[in-house]
Amino acid sequence: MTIILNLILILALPLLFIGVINKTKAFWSGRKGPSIFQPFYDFVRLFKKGMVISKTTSFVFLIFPGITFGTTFFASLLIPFALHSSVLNIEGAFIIFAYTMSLGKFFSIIGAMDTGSSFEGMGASREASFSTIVEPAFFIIMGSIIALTDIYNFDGFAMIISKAGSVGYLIVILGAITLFMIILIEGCRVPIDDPNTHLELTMIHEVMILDNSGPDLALLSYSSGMKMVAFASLIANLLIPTEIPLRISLLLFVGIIMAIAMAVGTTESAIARLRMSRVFDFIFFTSSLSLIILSFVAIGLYG
Amino acid sequence: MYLILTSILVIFVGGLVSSLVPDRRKPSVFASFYIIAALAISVFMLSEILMGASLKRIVPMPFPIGNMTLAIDSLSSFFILFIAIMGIPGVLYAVGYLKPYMDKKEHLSSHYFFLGTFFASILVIPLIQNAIAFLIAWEIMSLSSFFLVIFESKKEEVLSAGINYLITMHVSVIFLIIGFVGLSLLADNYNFPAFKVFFESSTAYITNIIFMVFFIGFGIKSGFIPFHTWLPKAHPAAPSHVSGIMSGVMIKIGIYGILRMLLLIKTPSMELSYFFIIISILTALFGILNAIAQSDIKKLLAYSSIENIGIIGVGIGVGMLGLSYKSDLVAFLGFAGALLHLLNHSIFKELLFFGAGSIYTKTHTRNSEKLGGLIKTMPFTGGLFLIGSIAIAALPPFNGFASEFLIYMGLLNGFKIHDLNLLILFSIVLGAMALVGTMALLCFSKVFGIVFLGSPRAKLPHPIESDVSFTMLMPKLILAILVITIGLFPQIALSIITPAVKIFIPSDNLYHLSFTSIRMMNFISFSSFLLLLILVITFGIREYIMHKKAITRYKTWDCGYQAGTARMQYTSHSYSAPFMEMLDNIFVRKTAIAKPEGVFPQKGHFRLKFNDIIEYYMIKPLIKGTQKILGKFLWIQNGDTQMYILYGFIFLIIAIIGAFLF
Repeated sequence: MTIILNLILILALPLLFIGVINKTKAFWSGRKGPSIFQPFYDFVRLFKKGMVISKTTSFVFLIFPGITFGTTFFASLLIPFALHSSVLNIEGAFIIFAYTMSLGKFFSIIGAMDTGSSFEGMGASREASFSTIVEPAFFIIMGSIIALTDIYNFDGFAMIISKAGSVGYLIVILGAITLFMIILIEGCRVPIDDPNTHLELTMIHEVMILDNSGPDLALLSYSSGMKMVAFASLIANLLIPTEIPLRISLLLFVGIIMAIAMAVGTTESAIARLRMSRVFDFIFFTSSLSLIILSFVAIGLYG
Repeated sequence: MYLILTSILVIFVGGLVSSLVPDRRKPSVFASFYIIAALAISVFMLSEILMGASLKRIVPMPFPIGNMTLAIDSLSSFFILFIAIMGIPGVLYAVGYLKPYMDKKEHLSSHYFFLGTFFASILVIPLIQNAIAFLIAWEIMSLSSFFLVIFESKKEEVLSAGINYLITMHVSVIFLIIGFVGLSLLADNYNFPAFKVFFESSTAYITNIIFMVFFIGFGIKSGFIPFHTWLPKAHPAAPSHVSGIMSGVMIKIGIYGILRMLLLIKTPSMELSYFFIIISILTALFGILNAIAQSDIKKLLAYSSIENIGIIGVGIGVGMLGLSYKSDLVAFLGFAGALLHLLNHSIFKELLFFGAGSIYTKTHTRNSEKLGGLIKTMPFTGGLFLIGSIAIAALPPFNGFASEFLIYMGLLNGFKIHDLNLLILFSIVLGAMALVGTMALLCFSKVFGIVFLGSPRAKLPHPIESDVSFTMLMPKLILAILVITIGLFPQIALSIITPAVKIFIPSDNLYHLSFTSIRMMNFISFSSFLLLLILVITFGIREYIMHKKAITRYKTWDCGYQAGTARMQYTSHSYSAPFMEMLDNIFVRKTAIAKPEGVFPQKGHFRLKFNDIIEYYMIKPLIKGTQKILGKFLWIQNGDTQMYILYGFIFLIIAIIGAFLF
């Protein structure tokens, strides 16, 4: 039962997440904006279309959207939704999570390079460079939480406060902030990247999929939403207190994810995109935060 | 034991015979000799491993060796099996790769003689438990591999790289001699079992010093920093089958040496373990950073070998810390991860080196800036190279992931040992390993993307009509099948490795440990299959939707600019530029620009080169200093025969006086 519920959430939330972000942005700019279900219509519309494929490309270009989608979906299966055990409950889940996501990233990078376009090469290069700095932060945070709770999958999130005491609250808050920054980086949102820009030179993720169309484009934007939801549900798991019944925790869970979508939309409306050289500083900040979390964990365990 | 020695002799004889037969036959004659012997060895070793028996013979040998101990324990049987099997693709690849060299009167005879000698000596090393015999076999291996490197000795850069390699190897031998002689004097015996007895009674201080000397000696062979500088020179210079064998097999024998020393000292001290894991993670980081900077495919692969040696070293370091802190599970996971990664690395690294060899055969360049779009003309090589790239970036569902997962789990289980230093160290190493992993992703998406995808960046001297021949594809196919098999069934590979891991761990709970790690691998195997299932379903749905839809073929979107050319594509350097600029201090960047000038600008060029900082700031000044000091003695070598006879005479007199005095 929970597994089916979980699968429904994994499949339904990504498009809703994008819809809420767009609605929030419309709200802040004083527009009415499209319905929050617009991404669903877009998805169906794209699926009905044919495709235009560049003559330069090879089989890599044809398989990469499917692989990006498949890996993101698989990674989402590892995350517990609303603290009720995940579909795939494996020790060391975060390692499999990160590396499967990386597999998808690898294919989207080489898929972009397959077109031989200098813009897409540029996007691929930036995506690869940025992700090198994000991953260590993610690993250090997950490692510290494991050190604290002694639980080797994402279920350990619920134990942080009971194990670390009052420092636990700091760990939860800082963890949520860092993961939120990771959403902005991995989802390629402002201030890292502007998904609505119309200048190819400044784009990262959007420029990588310039040549994709039809069902492949639908798959790609769907998996980009799914990636953000995966990280958002990590935050939700951090924030939800343990012992509450399924119905309430489910509501709370969806509520937190939607709140995160609104926060992403608000961030996008409030601040501008960073200069490319400053982006690295922003990403390095996640590493500093992860080290602070590590030191809090050390205090919680030995202090 | 005699079967093994006979098989090793067969390989040596195979080298001898194939150096005598006509050129065209050489590769296949040696390949058949080698494969028969290697299969005999592997069957014997596999049964040996599964039975868990250990053999020991004491063989009387002439002076200076004396009574030599030959022994097969689980560690040496694993290494012999590993070397024998991983040699097979290399020998097979040589059959196709050496074809263009047949008519050129290269030194094929000596090449094959030394190939036989090399394999015979490297296979015999894990058997030997005697210091002097070990050094002799080691020296034979180093010398024969030197001759393998300088196969194309008519090229000046090959010869200079070869001589660099020869000298570096002898620095390594000097350290090994110091270590072994010192140890033999202290233990009063040349055989390893006596060393073990000695270490049991020695102080931690002396043990650490001796281990450090051996670490430098073996570390030079393996390519730990700062002793790695020979690798990026020797690998591009050597022919591709030799680079594959050197990176896949030979540098691992240095790891064998380190592991053998660890077995002798049993419980490493805390400082030693900390030192080892830190130097290993630095090696991994440094290796992959420099790999990203390269555009020469084989040089890049050489730096990536350094990275992987670092990862293996992290595994060993985790194992050592597990021993130091008396945590059996951490030790088991560390050593298991290290040995599995050692096996995995040689599989995908040979695959990639042979891929680079095939690219070189067809395009006559190793410079990725000149390549592009090769997947259209060389689809099989491209596909196999892609499999190798995914595996080396340690991405699931291929084999590299399984071994790194074990090392990660070792690190995470280390948190159970409640120790603040360990918590901080392991968290940082965890982050650094993640950094190494993503940098490997950057590096290999770069190689594959630049070389095989897009359109050709420069006009090649010969147009490529077809992919390489089947003889060159088959070894890569075997390796790719191994990559996938171990990726999907890591538990099988782990169960072959387990006996070798067990001898490191002084515990009676070994069954439980191996059960725990096999269970982890079962999970990995399960999730790999699930991932594949999800991918298959995704592609099934996509195919169902797409099968009656119109697919239009059009040119790549160029943002409205109509005169785009292939030269505007992203290049290898521009791909890594954002990352490199962030880490500008770690590289010595050399640029040369000639801007196009005048009203009708004609030509301009831009050259960019990244130098290895360790080589630039440490090794080069060292060499210069040595040259300066040794230059003062140049007068000794004055070419005067009478003087040389005088030197001999003086030496004799000193020797006679010395003999009387002591």
